[in-house]
Amino acid sequence: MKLMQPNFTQEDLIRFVYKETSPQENIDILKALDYDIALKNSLNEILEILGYLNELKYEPSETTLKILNEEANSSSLEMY
Amino acid sequence: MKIQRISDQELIKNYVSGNDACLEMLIKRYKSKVYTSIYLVVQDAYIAEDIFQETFIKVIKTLKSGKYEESGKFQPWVIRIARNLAIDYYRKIRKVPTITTEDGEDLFERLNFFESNAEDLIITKQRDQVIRELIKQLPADQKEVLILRNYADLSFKEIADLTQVSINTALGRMRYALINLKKLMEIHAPHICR
Repeated sequence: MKLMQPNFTQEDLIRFVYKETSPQENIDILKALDYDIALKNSLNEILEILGYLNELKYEPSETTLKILNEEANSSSLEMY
Repeated sequence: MKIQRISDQELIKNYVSGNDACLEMLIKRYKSKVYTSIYLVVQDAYIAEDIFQETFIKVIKTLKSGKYEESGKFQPWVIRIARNLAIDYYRKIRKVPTITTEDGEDLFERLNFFESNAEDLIITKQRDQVIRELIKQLPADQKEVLILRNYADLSFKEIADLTQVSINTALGRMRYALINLKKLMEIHAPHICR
């Protein structure tokens, strides 16, 4: 990833992508993205990688869910 | 019409009060995040199923016993249980002797990766499998933060608490994880890059 201007670090961008920046930081970052090409490139690189990562989504089997639901329903609270 | 989402706390409260359907809703709400996180750590669907099941059985038992106290933090709590069970799993398999390379890596892990490179990456071209393999290649601390943030959906603060590091360290690890993933993609899987 390329270096960017000191105002915002890549860690800031990561927080921004995961919606962990404050409302004021959001405004500042969005403003900076308008003129800072390096910052924009860094953000695009992060988003590109996360795009690949977000393709991964797995589910437990129906059998496992059935077992858990039975476990949740089977015993009375007093048993534990 | 705006549909209000029932909070985890309300579901837990109702479950403890005898409404079994509420736990089903909680499992449904988090099954994908929890299972994907476990699966990416252990890289085996059968073991992931076992750990997932064990995790929620612990959840159920704790809720039923009335010992659950972490109000408002259900998801990080479930992830912490899953993480501990995954660590236990690795402790068990570590007892099996492994052959390591000069840099300390398990030789079979490395062989498996290149084998899957040759077959899975080229022949089947299944992108998700490629990405899983690349995640597997990350240093353990980076991989952990990546999985906890991106798949388990914990905040960096929650990750910092769970892994007992500062938020900045967690963020730094995430940054390196993304940088390294990008490099790994360019080296091992340029065909999947758009």
